[in-house]
Amino acid sequence: VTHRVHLDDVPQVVPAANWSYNADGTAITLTGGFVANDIYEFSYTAKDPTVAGLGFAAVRDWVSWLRYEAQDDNGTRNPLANYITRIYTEISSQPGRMFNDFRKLGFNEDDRGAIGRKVFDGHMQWISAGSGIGMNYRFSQSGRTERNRQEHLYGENLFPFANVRTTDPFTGITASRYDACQLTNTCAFGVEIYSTNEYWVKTASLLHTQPNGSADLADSPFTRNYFMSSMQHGTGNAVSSSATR
Amino acid sequence: LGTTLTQAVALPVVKNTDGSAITGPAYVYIVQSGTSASLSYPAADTGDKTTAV
Repeated sequence: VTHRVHLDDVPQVVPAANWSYNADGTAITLTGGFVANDIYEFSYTAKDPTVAGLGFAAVRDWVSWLRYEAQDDNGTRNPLANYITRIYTEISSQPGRMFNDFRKLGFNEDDRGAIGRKVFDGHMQWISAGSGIGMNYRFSQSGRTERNRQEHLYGENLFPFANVRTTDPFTGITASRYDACQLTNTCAFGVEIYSTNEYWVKTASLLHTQPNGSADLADSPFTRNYFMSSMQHGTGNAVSSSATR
Repeated sequence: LGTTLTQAVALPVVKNTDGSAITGPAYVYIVQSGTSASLSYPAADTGDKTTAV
């Protein structure tokens, strides 16, 4: 366990005698308690990772079944069979991060062997910008979200960030979030809508610039970007909305 | 749908082929008050207080 007050402070190791696990190892207790707003980091050896990436498959298979199938394997009828012609998503923030990686990993291709069968036709991506969800990793913690002074070390904002091909200057890898779906002709349209906040903490700039910032990117044929200037990530409340109007 | 709708999924836990637990490095960022903090994944050994490697 380490402790610091400010982000730029050097983390100080908390002596092992000052913290302990609970009986089943699902929590730690700190002698004297945690100080509100101070930063603590805990590195340890964990067990029992879940198959968090199944979440992508669950979304794909459920929606695909509603769209294409007459009944399930047990004979239960699909109540929407033959009624669906298009499927669009409307999300806000975190589920948009899921759909960013959903697209990146090629999950908009139906899994029943039919070439070119789309799951979704379009996504309205509200305030998720260039970030991901970090779900396809061992010991995934998809509920984490990077902000200015917190949670910088989780696998959230990872290349590729844009909907057209760019080259990562660190690895030399060239890729787009739309590479996988183009191989199977299953790309959904995307409307990327984001606020100033996402430039700070959700890699919004990397949606439309080269990773090294040297030039703007061309528009993707599948998506459009919309920046909401001076808007907060959330709608706030009457007091904060008035203050920022 | 009401605003109280909550959807959740129970994901399977991965095991080694011999049924033993998979272990590995984990990390928790904690900014909260109180005396205890929850871990997203349980500790492999509650008697081991060395840093994950």
